Amino acid sequence: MSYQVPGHVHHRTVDDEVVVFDGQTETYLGLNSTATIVWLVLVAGDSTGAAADALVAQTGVAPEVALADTVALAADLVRRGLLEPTEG
Amino acid sequence: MSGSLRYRLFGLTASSSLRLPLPEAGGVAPIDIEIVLGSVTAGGVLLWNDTSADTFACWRQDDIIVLAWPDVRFAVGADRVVVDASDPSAAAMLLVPAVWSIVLAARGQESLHGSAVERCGRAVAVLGHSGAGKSSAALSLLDHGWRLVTDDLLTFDAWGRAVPGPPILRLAPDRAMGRSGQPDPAGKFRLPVVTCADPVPLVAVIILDDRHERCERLAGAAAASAVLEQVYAPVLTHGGQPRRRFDLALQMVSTMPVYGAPPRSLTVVDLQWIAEGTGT
Repeated sequence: MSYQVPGHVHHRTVDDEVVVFDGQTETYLGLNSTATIVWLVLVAGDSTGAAADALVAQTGVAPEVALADTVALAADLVRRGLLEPTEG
Repeated sequence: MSGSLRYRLFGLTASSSLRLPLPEAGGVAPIDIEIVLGSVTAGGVLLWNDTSADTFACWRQDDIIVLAWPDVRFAVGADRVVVDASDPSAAAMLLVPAVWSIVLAARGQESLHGSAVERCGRAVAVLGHSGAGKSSAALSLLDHGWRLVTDDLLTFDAWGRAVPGPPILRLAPDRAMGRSGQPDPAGKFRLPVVTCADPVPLVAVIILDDRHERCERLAGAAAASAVLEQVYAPVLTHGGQPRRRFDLALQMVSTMPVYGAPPRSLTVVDLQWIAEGTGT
C-alpha cells in the first residue's frame, strides 16, 4: 500500500521529527522519532513494506513488529485525514 | 482626550482619541491605524465566551472583531479600532497589548506571549504565561547592558524579526522595588526603559512553563508544540491563523535554539549563558 499527503496537510521536519498541520481541522500533530521514520518513507511514495524496512534498519526492531506498527500507524494517519491511499 | 495623539505600537503608527499610558511618538510617518472613541455593539458570530467568569466575550461582525470586557468594548479592524468605555484608563490598559494582538492578527501577524531583549543587534525572547517571569528575566538582562525589544507581546515583521514594542516594562511590584516608575490599575509597576528602534532578529527562545523541571533544550515536535502553546490570543479570530502559527513556530524551531525552564527559575547567569551560547 502506498500513500500521499492530501493538499490540505502540510508537514515540516525539525530536529529529525516531523510536525504535521491539518489545514481542514486546523490542528497540529507532532510525530515521534519512530513515526517520523515511517512518515518520511510513506510521503516519499514508498510502500508500508519499505517503511517497515526503514524501521528495522534504523531502530533494530523485529521485522514483524515493524510491519505491524507501520500498518497500524498508516491506518491511523489515514483515519486522521493526514494521509490518503494511492492504490486499492 | 485629543484626536491628535500619536503612538508607535509594534511597528504601526497609530492616531488615537484615547490617551494611552505610553510615550507619544514624533515624526511624520503615515498613520497605519486609527483609535477612535465610539459606540460598540456586542453580538455577531460568537468566537469566545468566558462563561465561567463572565468576564470576556468575543464576536465576529464581518471583518470586525468585537471584544467585550465588563464596561469596556472594542471593535477591531485592520486599520481602525473603536473604543467604547466608561473608564478610558481601563480601556487604555486593555488596548496594549491585549487588544493589539487582535489588531496584528487582522493585519496577518501572529503574536506570542513573550518579552525580548537585544544586544549587538541580536535578540533573545522569553515566552511564558502571565506570572512566569518574562518581564523579570528581561529586566535581569537590561541591568546587564541589554535593551528591551518588547514586553509581554512578541510579534514579527515579514522577515521574522522581533518588532519593537512600547518602551515600558511591566513588573510585579516586588520586582520593581527601588526603581522609578508608576503603578498601573492592574497592580503592575510600569518601568520606562530604552527600546530598540528597529526590528531585531531572534537568536534564541526560552519558554518558562511548569512542565519543565529544569532548564533544558527542546527539540523537534516538542519545541514546536511548546512555542505554539505561547500564542498570545488562543481564540482564532481571523482566517489562516492556524497555518500562520504553524509556520511561525516551525520557522523559530528550525532557525534557533529553544529552551524550556520552570517559571521564575532563571538567573541572569543562565540567561546570559543561553544568550552567549548563541553568539549574542
